[in-house]
Amino acid sequence: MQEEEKTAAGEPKRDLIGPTEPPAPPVTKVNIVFMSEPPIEAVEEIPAVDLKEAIAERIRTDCKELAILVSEGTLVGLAPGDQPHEAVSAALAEMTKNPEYADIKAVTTASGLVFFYSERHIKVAEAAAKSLLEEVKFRIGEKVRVDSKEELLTPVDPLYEDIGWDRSAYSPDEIRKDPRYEDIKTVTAATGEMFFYSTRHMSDYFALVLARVASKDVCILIAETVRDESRIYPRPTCVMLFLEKVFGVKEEDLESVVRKTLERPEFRDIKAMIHPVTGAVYLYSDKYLDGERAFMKMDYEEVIRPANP
Amino acid sequence: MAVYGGWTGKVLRVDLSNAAIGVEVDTTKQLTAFDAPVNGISKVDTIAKYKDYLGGLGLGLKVLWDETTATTKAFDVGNKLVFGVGPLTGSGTPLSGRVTITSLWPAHLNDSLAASGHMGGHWGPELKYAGWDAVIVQGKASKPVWIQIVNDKVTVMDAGNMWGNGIYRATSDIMDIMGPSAHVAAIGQAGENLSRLACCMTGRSHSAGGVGGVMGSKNLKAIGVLGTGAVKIATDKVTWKALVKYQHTNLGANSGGVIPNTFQSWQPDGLFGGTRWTAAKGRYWGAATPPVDTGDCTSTDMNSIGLRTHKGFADHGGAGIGDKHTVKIGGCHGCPIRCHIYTDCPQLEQYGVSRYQVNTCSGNSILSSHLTKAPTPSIYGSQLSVAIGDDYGCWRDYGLAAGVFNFMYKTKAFPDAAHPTWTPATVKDANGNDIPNPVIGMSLWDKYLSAAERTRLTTNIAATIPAPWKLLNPDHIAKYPYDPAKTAAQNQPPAQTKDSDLRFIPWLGAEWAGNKMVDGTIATWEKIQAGGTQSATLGALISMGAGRLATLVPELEYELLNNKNNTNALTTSFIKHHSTEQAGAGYVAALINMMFNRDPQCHTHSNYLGNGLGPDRQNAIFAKLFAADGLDGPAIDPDSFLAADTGPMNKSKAVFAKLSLVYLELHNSSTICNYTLPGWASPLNAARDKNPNGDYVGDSDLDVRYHNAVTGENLTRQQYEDIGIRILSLTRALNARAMNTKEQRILHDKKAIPSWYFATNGVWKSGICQIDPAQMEIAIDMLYAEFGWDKATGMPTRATFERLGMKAIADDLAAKGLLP
Repeated sequence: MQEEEKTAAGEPKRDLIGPTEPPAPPVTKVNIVFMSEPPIEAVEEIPAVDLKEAIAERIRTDCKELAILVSEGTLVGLAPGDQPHEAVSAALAEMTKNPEYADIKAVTTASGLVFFYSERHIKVAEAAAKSLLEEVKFRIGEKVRVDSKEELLTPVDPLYEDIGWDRSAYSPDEIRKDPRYEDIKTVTAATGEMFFYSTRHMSDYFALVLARVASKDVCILIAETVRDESRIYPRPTCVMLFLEKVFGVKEEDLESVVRKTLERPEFRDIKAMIHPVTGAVYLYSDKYLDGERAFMKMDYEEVIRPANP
Repeated sequence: MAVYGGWTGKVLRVDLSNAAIGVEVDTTKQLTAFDAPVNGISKVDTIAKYKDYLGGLGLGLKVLWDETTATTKAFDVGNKLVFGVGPLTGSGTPLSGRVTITSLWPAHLNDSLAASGHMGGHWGPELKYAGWDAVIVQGKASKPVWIQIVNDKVTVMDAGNMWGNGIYRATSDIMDIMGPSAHVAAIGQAGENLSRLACCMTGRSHSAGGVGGVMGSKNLKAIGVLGTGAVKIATDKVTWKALVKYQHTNLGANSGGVIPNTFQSWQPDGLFGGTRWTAAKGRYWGAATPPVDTGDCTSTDMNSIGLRTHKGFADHGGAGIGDKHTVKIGGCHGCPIRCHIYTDCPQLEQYGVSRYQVNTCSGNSILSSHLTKAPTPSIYGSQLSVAIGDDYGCWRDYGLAAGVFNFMYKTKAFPDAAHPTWTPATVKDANGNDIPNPVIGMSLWDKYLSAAERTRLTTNIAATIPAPWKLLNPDHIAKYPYDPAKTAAQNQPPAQTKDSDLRFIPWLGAEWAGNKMVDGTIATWEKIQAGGTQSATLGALISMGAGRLATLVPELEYELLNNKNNTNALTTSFIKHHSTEQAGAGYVAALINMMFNRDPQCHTHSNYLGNGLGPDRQNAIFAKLFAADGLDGPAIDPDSFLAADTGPMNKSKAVFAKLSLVYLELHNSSTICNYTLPGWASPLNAARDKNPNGDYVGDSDLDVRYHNAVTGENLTRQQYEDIGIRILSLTRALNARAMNTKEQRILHDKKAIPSWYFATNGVWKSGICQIDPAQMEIAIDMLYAEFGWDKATGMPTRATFERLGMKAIADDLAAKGLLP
């Protein structure tokens, strides 16, 4: 057998195809041209912002109309440009020297948070008291939003303990009354444990599922999720869904927890079926979905949809 | 004369019968007037002649109406092949990378009927940048050629060194000549050999099915395009940017999904499932360097739209396989939705092909679906199949070709109670006496293939494999020949090793591409039609397409109309595509599937139905967007998996079907991607995401807004939709002319309604939503009424033709007795 000719690198040498000249370089293109000029009013312009005036106006308005203190974070949102923190610091420093802004004051909490207010609308003593509540709200909001972004619920009691506040003195549901924290909601697990979550990053339903997970009864988690699926969409639920991270079920435990769910009398509406071709296991609740439809929907997911891409 | 944006204003015509090879024509200098050819090359005024039909598909159909006759056939020299783009192509309109290739359709039983194939990629936009709205190819070159288009300069080039080679080689050769910025659309051996199941392909994975054989019949190997011009946009930059940004906020994922497929914390209502929005945190493009985490891909994050559709994970076996082998998800010009899966399977190198492959959807199983036992994991068979099938230019025909091939390979012809007529027990001899049928018990091979072909296939298979596949010793059939002495069960292919299964693929590709098509598809067809059995080659049989083959092989016809594998063909033997098997589709899908001369390729309805929102929300959004169209009830049935779930036909469903068809034609003419549009639903809800249209409500006016912004016209949505009805009506006119009958309802549309849509004696059939035959008649009436077509015949009325500015066509049809 004739040996293949090899290159210096030891690779099989291949016949060259086409010309030996190097290809022409790519051509730079302008792909579209516009036939009209934008109307003058439509030209994007960054309006000039008097940051000091904007800061003062925001503080005075919030104090007057909402009777609340203003956090530094709120002010940063008013600043244009790439370095808003620096811009706000500079503006605040200048404002202290300007008598026009003499009513703008700051209060610092024990933990070092700074809040601003206008003496025209909130007095010093009142501001000190409010700052304590502002700090609670601020720390709850900050922690809950971070946790929710990471798909975690925030247990209420440990958070209160951490902040050093009494839950009975400030109800967890009170925080939503402040429009700045309207995304902060609570959900309670079957164990009675209450959790915060932020709707900025987490749906109510996702929070509910996490609360079920926190109940530490996987059978309830499975049964209630199956009931939801059968009721809302309606559709049967492939048991593989419970291997998704949020449900916290391990692959080696899946079969046994499904079997246990099916055996519990309070979940007798939960039925199982096995696809005859793929062997996939699906559950459904016969409270909301009859067996024939459940089977057809399973068949659709397992066989028909893949065959009709 | 008005100056429009969008259109270039010129169509290029290349008459291969009259073009000298190697002679460049500068169309700006040598062609002093429209329609004055030099060296077979001329140009046509788009605006004057085709503007009413928009471009792309509409333009192509108008060319066929004007320039072919009732008796012109697909492979005739007189057939035209129209590569058409539209005003939106290449404009930067999201999803505007498409080109439509229109011609008389080789795969249809009546190949004087028109249809179209469609490619994404970058070829279409490049044609626009070169200054052309379409290329009309006509005539036939005396020897293999390719067409080189560099802006205004057009040259018919010698393709002798490429002929007989695959698409990859042709593309590479042309890129060597034209440079890396050029884009190439080419055919492989399948098209050269006049396979009716051949495609034209660009950009490695973007293929237009069905038209490859027409290119082959003209001795046209490829068209290379390089353009340095720009598309003119009538509006201003600020308005344009705002419009594009607005659409981006409404886009979901591929196939119109607007909610994630997995349970995601950010989805405002906790909805998930049923879509191609398959990205998730911790789900990687695992073969990228470094691997890319597709991440949350929230609905408001415009910078991760391209990550949302992780088809590598979804289509190639999920965790540990699909994600592991995915390099990236790529796509077409101007499209933020990426849907083509780039894979890396180093295991493929042992078969002599590149480890890097790319395709999407059914293109990923073009040959591997023939395997009697899928290799594990299936991605290896799939990607080897892509490497070979795409190079040969084999068209999958949405799975029908694979079904036919498998059937012809495996099925025996034993008559039984279920199929008593397959092979009659007795036949008449020359004296009229009943004698035992000599083909009883034979396999399809025995009945239909020549002795020489059977010998070739059963004893010398390795020799039929072209290099380099010959080295792979695909000895499957040599090892396991059909033995007439054994029972059917004993003759079933034995369980095969993974290895031999994979090695079968190159052989399949070669057969499909017609490498052993001794007689060619036309001669084989004529021979068998004339009564000659045992005269064909396997390649020729497969390559003639399901429709023709089924007329010769009753066993196949039975299979196509009755099988339970969800790949049922329609009665006209082209395959259904998103028909009644889809939840909620019912009459709407049945209507859509009867309208064309191939599978409809309509995704307007299937994308909306598959957006993940569920029927209640879908009905509410549809009602909000299209209230002015006179809706009277749910357009989408709430369940539609069981016969009892399909609600009666109503006006809303007729409107849904009409709009689905109209926007399909508009997308293929303008040209934007019907595989992701329409944007009737949005991933944004009202409360959290501030969707100004309401919870998950998209936009019904986006198409016409883009048209107006690009062209400078000022059409209403209804005026724009009338263009779609005009294109559909032109298709009707072409059908009537080619079929020489105005009876389109009976002889065209209802022919495409298979009995399996309906319950048989109340017996439920798996995989479809069965519908009521009497209601289906009402559905047809209502759809025709939406279009202004005659209910009795299914033809546009004269009034409709005239309302649409098609009086000359109406007059022509009337003169032929083809107008109702």
